[in-house]
Amino acid sequence: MSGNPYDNAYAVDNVYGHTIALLKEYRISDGDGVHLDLAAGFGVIGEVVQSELGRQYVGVDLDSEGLRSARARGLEMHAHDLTLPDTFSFIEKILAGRRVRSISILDGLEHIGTASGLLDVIAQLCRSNDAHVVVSVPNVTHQDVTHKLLLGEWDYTASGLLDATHIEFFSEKSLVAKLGAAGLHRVGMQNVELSQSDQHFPSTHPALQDGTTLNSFLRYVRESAESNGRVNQFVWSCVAGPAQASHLVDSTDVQDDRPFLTILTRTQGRRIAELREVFNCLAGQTSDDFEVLVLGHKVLTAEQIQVEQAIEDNPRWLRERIRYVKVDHGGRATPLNVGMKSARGRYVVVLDDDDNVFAHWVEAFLTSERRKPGALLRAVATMQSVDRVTVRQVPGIRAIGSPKFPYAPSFSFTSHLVSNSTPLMSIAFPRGIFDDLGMTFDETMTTTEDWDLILRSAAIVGVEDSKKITAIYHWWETEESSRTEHESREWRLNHLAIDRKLDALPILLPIGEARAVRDLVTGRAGNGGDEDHNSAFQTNTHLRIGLLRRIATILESRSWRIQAPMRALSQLFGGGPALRMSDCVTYSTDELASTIQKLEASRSWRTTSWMRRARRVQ
Amino acid sequence: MPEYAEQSVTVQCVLYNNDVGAIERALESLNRCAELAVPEGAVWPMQVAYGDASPRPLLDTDVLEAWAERFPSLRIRYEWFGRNTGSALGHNLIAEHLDTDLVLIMNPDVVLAPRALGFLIRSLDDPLVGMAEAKQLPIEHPKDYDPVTGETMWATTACALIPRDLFVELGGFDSDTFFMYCDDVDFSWRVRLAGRLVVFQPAATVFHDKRLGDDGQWQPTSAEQYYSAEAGLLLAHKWSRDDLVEKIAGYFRSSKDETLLRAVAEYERRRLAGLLAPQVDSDHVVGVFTPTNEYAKHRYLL
Repeated sequence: MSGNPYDNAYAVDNVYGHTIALLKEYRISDGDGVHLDLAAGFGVIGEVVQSELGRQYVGVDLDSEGLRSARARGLEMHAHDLTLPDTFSFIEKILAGRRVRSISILDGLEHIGTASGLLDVIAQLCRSNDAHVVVSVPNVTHQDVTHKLLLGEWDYTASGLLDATHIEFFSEKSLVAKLGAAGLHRVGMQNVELSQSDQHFPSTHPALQDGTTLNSFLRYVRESAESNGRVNQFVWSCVAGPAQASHLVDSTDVQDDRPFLTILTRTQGRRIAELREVFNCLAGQTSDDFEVLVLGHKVLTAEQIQVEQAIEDNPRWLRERIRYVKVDHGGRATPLNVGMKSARGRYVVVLDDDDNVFAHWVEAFLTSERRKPGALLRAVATMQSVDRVTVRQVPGIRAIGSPKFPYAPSFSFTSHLVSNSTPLMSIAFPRGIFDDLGMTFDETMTTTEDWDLILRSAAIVGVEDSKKITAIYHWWETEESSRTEHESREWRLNHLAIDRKLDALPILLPIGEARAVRDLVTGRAGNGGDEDHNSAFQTNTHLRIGLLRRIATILESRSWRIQAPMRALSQLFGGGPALRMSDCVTYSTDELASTIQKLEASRSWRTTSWMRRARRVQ
Repeated sequence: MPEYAEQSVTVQCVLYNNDVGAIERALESLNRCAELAVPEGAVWPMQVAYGDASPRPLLDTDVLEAWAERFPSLRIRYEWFGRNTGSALGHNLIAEHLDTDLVLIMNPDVVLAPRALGFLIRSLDDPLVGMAEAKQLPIEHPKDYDPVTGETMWATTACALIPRDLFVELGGFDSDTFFMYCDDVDFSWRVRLAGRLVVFQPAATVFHDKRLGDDGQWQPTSAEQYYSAEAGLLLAHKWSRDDLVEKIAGYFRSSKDETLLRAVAEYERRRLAGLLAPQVDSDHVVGVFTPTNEYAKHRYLL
């Protein structure tokens, strides 16, 4: 090595080795020909190109030291300033009729800049020679650079990621855009990854040291948003194709064209009367600043026609805001993720095809956005039992119970760690968590995918409460719903999955949440304090009520009662006293949960599961 | 697709200082409803008749002309009463010009589901049915109904369809007795007294902007409290429940609540002036007064 900072040795795991691998992998055409190495420097890959690819190496650079070194090793090198406008004719001249099979420009673009037109020259050469090109550039978004930049540091060095001579910096997106503007398109990729780059200094920086909470939080957010945090150099193989539009990002915010809210309505096409009620509720909204995506999930053709008819029936202003999106794969969460990708709204909310909303549902979210833009927007839902009826041969829905209020009026992150008190239609997600933070509904979860995303996103963007009651969660007493479709064991498994996920993450608690944690630990929750900070206690109370209700449902069910003689017999033989509802009232939350587990695991419950399946009620 | 006999429809709404935007939103849906109800037998275009009881006219010619252009399936008629008629008299005044087969009594701000009118018209195919009520969203009225026939004790006139002949035969609403509450209960009971059925059709939905307070309770205005209290007394009297009148009036008097005291005082004034309605249903065949002061059994508390 010469001591020149650009005179680096060839290695299979550095940019040179990755380049050779790509050149071998993407051979568009075989046979004799030239490998053209632009900004060749010391011609490090020259010998390997000739020996392993069987191509004649031709290097071009302006640096005399590099030219001398390469020529001394017998490589064909030409001196030229690649920023000059005659570059294409210069290359044609040195090729002298020889065919170019492949091209490389390794860590050169950041010195030359894309404004020089060099990428256009490369694209033209690729096109006319049916060749491909390997491009490498340093990744300015490496986590060492971005973590320090976030805290106000930007350190130029003699070489490396922030080489003081760089005139242009690249992220993955900007490189794709700039190559695309020249008509070059990525077909292969072998990036060089380094957990600790040349910017990993000072080594005591809390944002860089991987033992700190700050570092793990930044890495978690970054890895969720974008996967190039450890990429030191992008190394891509590209071919020529049509040129894309300008690579410059339009800084004009596209928000103006967006509706405030995208409403995602999942349907399986089996609840047309309910879906029509949803549309009726939307037609009565006091704010029309929304669009609706009806996500038809695995809907049969005949049912899709009914869904489309229900959409078509709406008044024009509403009809024009509704799009039908067909989703024919995946589980419960899949249509939501598909919908997120098509959503145009600044916010996204899920309103399933069997719930209702009040007239100020959209308006309340909109008002909350003005108070805290970018946060999750939460309102309050009430719950009401409903059933299906057919009156005069027409199917309809009938409420059969008073509206109940099981959900806490304000959001507590701490309480939500224990149970979900936020039905999906009562929380709107900012599009940034999908677009910019890379979050999605977890499609591996068969239930509780909503709770999971609420927690993950609330931990980053916070929650703004409206406290207004704006929605009705319908509790289907005799029809199938996600509650009855999924066995309670499955629910518990998903709960555990959420717990595991959260236990592995650094959590950013919102302002004021420390008090809720303190109160829980000291047992002061519920013994005074203001309403907001008692929400943890409230949710705990709601959780207890939910557990008690579940026990009551089991004890009062026909299938449990029918087994009473068998249980009485077992008690005679030492099976313990019968469980009474009055005993449960004094139980702790854990004892209630444990009781439910025992009841559900009992012989009485298991042997009568067929009855519940047949009736679809418990 | 079954063939339906053509029936013309008038939608009647009494206005009182309503939000014009909300009326417009309701018209949008009504226009679509009218388009879709044609195959169900509704005559095109459908008439919409507004009677305005506001202190000043809510609508002007410009608005009406714009609506006429925008809602081609509706023929809109508007009259400013120049006085606060209340809902019962307001509807009767509008109905003086009624010349269609069916009349849809409706709050001006309810938003009909596209197929709601069709479902209501089909309910009236049964000649026994004299009044068909739509289901309100998002909070449904809790009164009980037969889950197969839809038969119920009474219908709210937030949105209810009535054959014109029956409406005329019954003399419309009892506007001498009721101002703005219980006029629909009384009318429904007279429909039943005439041997016809009142039915509830849950598939015919209308969205009615009713909200719950942050505490989850309905929050009636003091006017709503007063008129419903007054109407409760008047309804009990008219439907021959003097025992209830005595009980309710006693409760009102002992409550020391200003609104309730005013209601009982107005009742007394009418009684002494001989202005109470003649009593009907002396055998209590039709009128229903539940222990919780409802006019039908309720499925749940609201």
